[in-house]
Amino acid sequence: MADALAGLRVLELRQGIAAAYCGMLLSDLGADVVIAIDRVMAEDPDPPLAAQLYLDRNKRSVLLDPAAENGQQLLLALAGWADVAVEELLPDTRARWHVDPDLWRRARPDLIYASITPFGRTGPDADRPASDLIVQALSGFMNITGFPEDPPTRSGTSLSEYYTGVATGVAVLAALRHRDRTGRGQLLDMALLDTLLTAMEGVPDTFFRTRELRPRTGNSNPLFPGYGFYEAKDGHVATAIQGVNIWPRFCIAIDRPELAERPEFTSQADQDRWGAAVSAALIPWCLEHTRAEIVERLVAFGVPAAPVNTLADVIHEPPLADRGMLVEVDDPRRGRITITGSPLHLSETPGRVRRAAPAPGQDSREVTAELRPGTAARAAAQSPA
Amino acid sequence: MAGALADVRVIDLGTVIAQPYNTGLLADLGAEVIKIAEPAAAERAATGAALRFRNPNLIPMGIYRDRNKESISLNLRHPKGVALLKELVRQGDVVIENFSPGTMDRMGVGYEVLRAVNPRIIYGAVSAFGQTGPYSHHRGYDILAQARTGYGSVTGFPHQPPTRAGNSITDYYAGLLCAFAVLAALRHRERTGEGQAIDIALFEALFMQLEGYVERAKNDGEVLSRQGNESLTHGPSCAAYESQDGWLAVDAHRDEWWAGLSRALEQPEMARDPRLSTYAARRDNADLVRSTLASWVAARTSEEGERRLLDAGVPAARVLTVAEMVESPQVKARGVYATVVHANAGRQTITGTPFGHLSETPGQVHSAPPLANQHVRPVLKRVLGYTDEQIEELEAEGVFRA
Repeated sequence: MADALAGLRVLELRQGIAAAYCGMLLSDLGADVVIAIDRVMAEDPDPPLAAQLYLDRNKRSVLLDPAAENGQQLLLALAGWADVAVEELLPDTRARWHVDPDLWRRARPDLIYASITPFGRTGPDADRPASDLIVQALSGFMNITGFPEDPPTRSGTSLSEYYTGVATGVAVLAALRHRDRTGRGQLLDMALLDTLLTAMEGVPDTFFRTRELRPRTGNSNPLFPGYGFYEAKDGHVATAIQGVNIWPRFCIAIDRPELAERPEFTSQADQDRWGAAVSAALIPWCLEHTRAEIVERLVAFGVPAAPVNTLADVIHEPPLADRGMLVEVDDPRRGRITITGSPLHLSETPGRVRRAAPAPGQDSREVTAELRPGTAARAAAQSPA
Repeated sequence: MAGALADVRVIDLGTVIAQPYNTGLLADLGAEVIKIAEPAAAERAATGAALRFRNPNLIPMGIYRDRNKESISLNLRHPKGVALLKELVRQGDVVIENFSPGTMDRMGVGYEVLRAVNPRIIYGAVSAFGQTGPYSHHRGYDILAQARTGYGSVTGFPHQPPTRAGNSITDYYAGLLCAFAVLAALRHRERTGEGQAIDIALFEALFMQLEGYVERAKNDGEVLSRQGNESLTHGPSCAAYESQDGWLAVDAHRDEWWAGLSRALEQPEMARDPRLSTYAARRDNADLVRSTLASWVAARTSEEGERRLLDAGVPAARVLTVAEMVESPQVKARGVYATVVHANAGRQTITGTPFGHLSETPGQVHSAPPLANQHVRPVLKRVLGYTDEQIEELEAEGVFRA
């Protein structure tokens, strides 16, 4: 099978999930992604160690000492080697490494330099220290998540990092297209906050129009009856009884076909009565049945439903094995382990997991040898510790 | 300035969130996106908006996703509607859809048919569980992905049930992944002339974002579950705490941030205390970290806490409402929101592009979300060379009405 991004060279400088995820997506489609780190970053808690097991698959790792002359030469050689640099470093690391996109781009006008920061490189908060949690707090996202009686609630993962990781991948591929036509690289100034704000579902747009704010409504929303998490006998289930065409199927599925005939269900026009009636039928029925019973029954009748899984449950979900979403690799530090596979199902150039995440500096010698001979001779990479 | 994707034509059959978001992003980057809007769906969305907010002049809240697009309402139950779609695909680069698997085939416009029409076509599909596999027939929504991936089990407070994120988080991931795959496929096509089919699943899009929790469960048998506003990865040193007047998010999980925290709290010993001085120690002594931060934040206003932490270089932020967020100087400076003139609703501020700061090819919001079928004439003239008479004839035959 061919790789869509074969021959694409990517330098990844990262202390965050977004750059690592962007690099992962590029590497799944065949890009040659090299992570450069120093001894301090080898111990870095970001991106999280467990996440590196899947985020760094397919990549190579080079260890260098940015304070030493040969370390600086190696870094510049890597910047000269790369088509794309994806950089998500903290400001002090950027300074310690002397990473300077303007300088690099002057030397290499065709370089695509993707900068990922919490707020972007412009604006009054450009230098404000932050992370995904801070971005979730400032975006308003936490204020629309959770139960009204609880505090504003964070999402269970670093969602702004993941959004921005993919968005950066999109920007990189668009910039490559532009470069193919014009020969010119560019600086992609991506911000965690900007990207998260484009995924806020129009809550801000509605606020601009009505000056009304969506409150936290917990696991269901009165405006969308039947859409949410509901309590079952043995846990929770999710249903999406959306619209007047799903409703009759639901009534039949719960053996109450007479409900389908009631006037409030033949039109969605009377939203309040409709919502109350859906809840009145759905909530007690769920409480009387197990998750498995509910899901089996509803899905059989074409009503969208799913169990609310724990992490122990999800790893046994049949589609994961069937579609290659759990992959075994030989990790250099952990031995044979299972990692998350590639979501990029392309018929001619599918995303692939070729090898496990590297140990820090595992590929220093190999990569150094591949760099332009003159440069490589001067810049001997350090061996891994 | 020409967009990076100015030579890419997208025939967009997408509905709801994931695919409209995808094609909105492509359009920001300059792609020509022709939205094939089913009038009934457009009416449902408009009716829904009017009902929900009891204001008939409102446009749907999610309509921002259709910025920069043109709209044609094709009746795909009419043979001439199907024929017209194929003509557009022949002139297109990318087809986008998110019907249940098999639906496009039943309409006579599945991938194999469209590939025969145009072998270079890139066919981007998003579905609940993918086009293959044991659940491919399941219908899908974000809420089901949040449930089945276990995402709900790691969001919310331990005393509460698993909790859904407050918006359709999965759709945006899936839309982004599809956009990424489309651009990679375009690159492959430039080299080989070969189109292909893309199969993105909502379930997998969210499963990818589990931050190593899957690896921990699968390899170490460690099943994480929700910890309220504490980071599952980093613990209480990265969490939101209650202040005198609200909630303050603080992130001091890194050593240098923890050192800053010790300065801000005027407790220099915190940075040297072996129970707290390293990342691993802070994970082991979560109760001490939690009580230290909770009591300090509780003793002051959010604003004071935020200022003192930021002065010491520690990431901190008041937990804002959307109303506060849109007024923030940073958000205004970055220009995330755009003003457009909508054909019905007039001047509107809508969510804009995440690509506004690409130095050579910045993403732009150049036109308002369209009304259904607003562009039938210009599109059919420009793309297919139709005359007014031909278009009127098709109109009379009901090709543009479902």
